[in-house]
Amino acid sequence: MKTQQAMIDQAKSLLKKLLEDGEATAVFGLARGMGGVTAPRIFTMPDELDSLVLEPKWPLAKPAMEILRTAPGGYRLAVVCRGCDERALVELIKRNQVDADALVMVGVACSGEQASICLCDRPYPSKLDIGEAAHGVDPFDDPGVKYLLEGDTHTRMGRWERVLKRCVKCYGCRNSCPICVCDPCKLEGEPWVRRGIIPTEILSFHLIRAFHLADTCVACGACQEACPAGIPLVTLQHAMRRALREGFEYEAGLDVNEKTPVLFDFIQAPEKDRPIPDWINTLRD
Amino acid sequence: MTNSITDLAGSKCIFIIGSNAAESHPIIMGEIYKAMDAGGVVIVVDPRRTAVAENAHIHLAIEPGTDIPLLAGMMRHIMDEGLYNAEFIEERVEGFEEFRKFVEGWTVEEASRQCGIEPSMIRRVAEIYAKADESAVVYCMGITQHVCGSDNVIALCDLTMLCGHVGTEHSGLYPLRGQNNVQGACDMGALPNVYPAYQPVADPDIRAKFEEAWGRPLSDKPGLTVVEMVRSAGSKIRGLFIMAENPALSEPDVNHVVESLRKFDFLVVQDIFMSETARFADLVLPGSSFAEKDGTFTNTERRFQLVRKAVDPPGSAKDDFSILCLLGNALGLNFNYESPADVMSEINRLAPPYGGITYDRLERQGLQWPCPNEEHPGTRFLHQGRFTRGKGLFVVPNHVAPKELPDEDYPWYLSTGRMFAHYHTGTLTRRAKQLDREVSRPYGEINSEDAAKLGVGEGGAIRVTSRRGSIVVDAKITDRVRKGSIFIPFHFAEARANILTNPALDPRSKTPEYKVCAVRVEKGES
Amino acid sequence: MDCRFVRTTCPFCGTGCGMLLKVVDGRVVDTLPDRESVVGRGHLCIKGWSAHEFVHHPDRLTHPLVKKGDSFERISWEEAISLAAEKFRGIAEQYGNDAIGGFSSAKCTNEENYLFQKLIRAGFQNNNVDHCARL
Repeated sequence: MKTQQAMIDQAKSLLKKLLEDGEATAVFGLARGMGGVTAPRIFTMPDELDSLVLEPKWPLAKPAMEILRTAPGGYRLAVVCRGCDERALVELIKRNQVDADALVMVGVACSGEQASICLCDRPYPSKLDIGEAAHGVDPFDDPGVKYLLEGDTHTRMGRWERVLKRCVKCYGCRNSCPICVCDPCKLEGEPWVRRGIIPTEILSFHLIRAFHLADTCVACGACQEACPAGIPLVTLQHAMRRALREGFEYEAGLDVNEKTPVLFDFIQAPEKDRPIPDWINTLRD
Repeated sequence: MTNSITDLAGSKCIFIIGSNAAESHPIIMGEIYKAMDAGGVVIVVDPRRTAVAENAHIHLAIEPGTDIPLLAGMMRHIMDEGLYNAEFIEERVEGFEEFRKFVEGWTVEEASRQCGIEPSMIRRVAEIYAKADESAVVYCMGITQHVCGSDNVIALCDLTMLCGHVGTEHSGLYPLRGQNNVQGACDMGALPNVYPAYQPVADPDIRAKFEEAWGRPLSDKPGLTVVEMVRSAGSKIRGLFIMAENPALSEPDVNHVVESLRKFDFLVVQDIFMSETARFADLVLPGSSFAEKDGTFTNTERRFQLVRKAVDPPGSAKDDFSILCLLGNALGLNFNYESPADVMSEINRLAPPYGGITYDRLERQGLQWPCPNEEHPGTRFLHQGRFTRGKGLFVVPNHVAPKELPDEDYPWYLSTGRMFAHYHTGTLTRRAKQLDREVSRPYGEINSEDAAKLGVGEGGAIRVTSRRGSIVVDAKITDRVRKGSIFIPFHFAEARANILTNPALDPRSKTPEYKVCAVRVEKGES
Repeated sequence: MDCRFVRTTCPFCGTGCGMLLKVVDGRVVDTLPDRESVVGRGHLCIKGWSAHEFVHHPDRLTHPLVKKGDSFERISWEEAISLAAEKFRGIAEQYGNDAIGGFSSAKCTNEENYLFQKLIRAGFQNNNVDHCARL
């Protein structure tokens, strides 16, 4: 296992080279600034990368997308990506929100410790440039996740109601989600969600969000980390992701060319127990 | 506040009174949820079933303006059952005997009769607060904006001292301050009776120190408050300088305030927008927003934090520091500061509790005062082992009923406050698309039974009238307000809630009684 | 394209959450929570997330304005400052120093509040300085 410093050194030299060779116009990552405080930074000069760090976790996919949206033509952004950042950017490319040619992803592995904090089953990007892949964690082994997903409907509803009622409607989950890009956003307008009052209708707000992201969520945890009320939002998504894996053998964010089954599988053969009536074959040409 | 925001997460009992933290201080609410998840009990006292009340273990929906009766009832039960902290009182507090007489003048039943809460609930809540290892009290404007607001605060202080719930990590008193730098404005002496760090203007030694530092003779007479200055417009006060305040919306009985603003011989308003107040100015100076200047704000937990310049002010607008320097120099005051950091070094010298607060040290996570020197790490919680004044002092609170209660002509209770998407007079938040989308029109919350009686549906117009004026707002029908009560947020210039409010003041703090006045509610013409 | 993230403190309530302003080519275009801030710890409320929205609003005041009849006219900073100083000095001479007062601001910085109370106290030898702490 490489030390943190060795990983940083490796990242610096790799990223410096990208800037020097003109492979990237700028690098997007974390910098340690005055007082030892870490914040996202756009590095445009190789020397600036001296302040680069890789920790703590700071989801960068969404800000990276937003930078690319306003960037001039020909701009290429190298982004320091954890596994979840990479998967989020893959989803954004699929949805034409990010131009793959304007993006250079530099993959960094997460530590095993980070994986257990995030309940991440895949704490590394598919293209791993820096560090070694740690073992993932099965989120369904977590007692907190079990508590909310097990038991009968009534029990689960009661448990979810208690946590969802705390929502202060900051929209932090949406704002920090790399996949939430709809404009206009369904959460903003009636009749879906009543405006101007909290607690908001607990089902509409959070279930609209959960279903909207059902086949794109990469479980990066940005929503939950941004929630001031501590609502375990990723747990909802773990359940959705499991359903997709079990029913369709699909997982978001792994392959730019793999389409979502939710939108595309309905064109396949009809269900066996619902045969198409015979008269259909008697129709004229 | 005595402690720090994150200390709340470790409290075993949080007693929230007169605060709708879920809407006004959502991030602090998050710490309260953490305490709940760790097994803490949350008790909420509020006439409205607010979002905080919805999420609490116990909600006591008291009659408006009966906080002292409730607290007195609780304290009576704590005394009767011997649940008070005799050791703490003996060691650290004075005035217990007289205070005991006050408490013994109350019974739980009498308290119940006045505040409308069942005696058994008063007892239960008192026991939870007193018995928990570390209990915290969180309060806000629902406590202070009453004619007996200072006495309400005193009663809360008494309760904490009675149970010894102060001076430890997770106990204490948490007043939640409403504006980003209201703590700092007070700390810096923007008050009529004190210099920076609450040093009295009437103290000759203190005055001499400032006279020497500033090179000017100074007055020993406390000045006038905001409300008093407005009331003295054109008589005692002729020239007024208003920096980024909007009394035309924020003061009670604003119709009267607007009349007063016209009466000044010369009114200067420095602001970033043409506020309702700036319209009355003779001279308007364009200042800067928080994103256009360097400096510090002090939050509700006494923490100095850096504000950093991100962009230049628009057009020829200037940052407020530069404007004050120009004006100071024009008045012959030698305001030759190079930067706000220069001003901070002067503050370090003249205000002892802030002596160790320098910009370099603020970079990482700010510093909480008292922080008297550069080696001092700042103070996470106050009154550990010893109160600031030495011994704590029990003071007998004096309950005064709200000055204006519902009667035949004005049979409804009105209370005003904030809602989650807007802030203060709306000058800033109503210009944000996201927030305007959430709520763009003035409204009043009424109970569904009242709405049915009035024949008003959701969003229908209602006219609200008090002895001072009348406004029309949209009805928001919700059973979180009680029958016979209406709640109106004060963020909206087109229907100013403060046209209705009563300018009755707490005699000590001069805080207006925004939380209770009497109004009439009718179906309005839309 | 120049793009920076500037660490600062939220301008709304007294909690004082840490935030990052995203600045692109001299304009504040977005607000992000500061995950390193001890206050907020990476959280913001709906108001905090919108903190950048009023900064470049077209209604911003951009020039000193003087009242002429019922409307306002632009004047230069030199004129504005000397007008204010002259008028305040004139009132103090005619009615006494106590006839001047000032409202400082819970929205402004500590340094500005300090200067403001010093301006009133040292400039006019009275203590008529207050702000809306009570409201």
